[in-house]
Amino acid sequence: MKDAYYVFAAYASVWAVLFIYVFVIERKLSRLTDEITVLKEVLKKKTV
Amino acid sequence: MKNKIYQILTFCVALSIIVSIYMVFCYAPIEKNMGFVQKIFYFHLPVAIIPYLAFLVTLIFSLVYLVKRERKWDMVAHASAEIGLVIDTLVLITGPLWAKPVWGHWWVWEPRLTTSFIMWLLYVGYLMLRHSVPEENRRARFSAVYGIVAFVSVPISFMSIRWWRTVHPLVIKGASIELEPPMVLTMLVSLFSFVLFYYLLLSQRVRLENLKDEVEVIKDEVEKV
Repeated sequence: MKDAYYVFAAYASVWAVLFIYVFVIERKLSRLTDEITVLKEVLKKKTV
Repeated sequence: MKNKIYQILTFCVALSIIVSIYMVFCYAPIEKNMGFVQKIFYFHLPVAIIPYLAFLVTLIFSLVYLVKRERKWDMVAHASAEIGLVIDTLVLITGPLWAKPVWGHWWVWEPRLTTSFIMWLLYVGYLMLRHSVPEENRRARFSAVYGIVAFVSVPISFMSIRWWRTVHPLVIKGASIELEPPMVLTMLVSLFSFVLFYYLLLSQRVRLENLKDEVEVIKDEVEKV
């Protein structure tokens, strides 16, 4: 079962890279959504 | 509505991944010659196919952009190339992890590995090009042309094990697959889960670009008021 280390390393690296990529995208999405909310409020205040 | 579709898609992706992992370790038999390390194949093959699909999407939407000159097509081409590159990186990680116990070497400069590495470098170049051109229309035009030219590496990489003598295994020969039925089924489920995952990532990545544009539009409006 020495080869199990290679299998574990392969699966762990796949999911680690994909998890990091998804995390980065989701964080950027959340930041932009917050920014849009703030900007809309600023725009609303300025137009009133 | 869009949120609901996203939630359903995320659930389907998670479910298909769990099912594929279960099938890899509990359903698919251990291959006689390679042993347990062959299990890497069930993830290595799908992550090798997805970049081909992703770069094909980049090619198609680059062509559409050059015809229509609308930013939304460039967004999809860009998003797909980026996802393709991330997943292609996994091919270059999982491949050597399989090669070491089977071939005795992490890396061999044989046709498939060499052409895959060149393909990876070409799409790194695609993203570098996008970062180096500040003007939006020029960036989209240059990237579209580059995205079309870079695609040449995809059929070369795919066909390399058929065109040249190589130590890389050839699993699919014409219409036949040299695997036992449970192995084929496991591989197909794994491939399906990665295709779904790719689609989910693509939709989120395009949404990200749309939100960036929306921020710029609102910022302009705020400055004008």
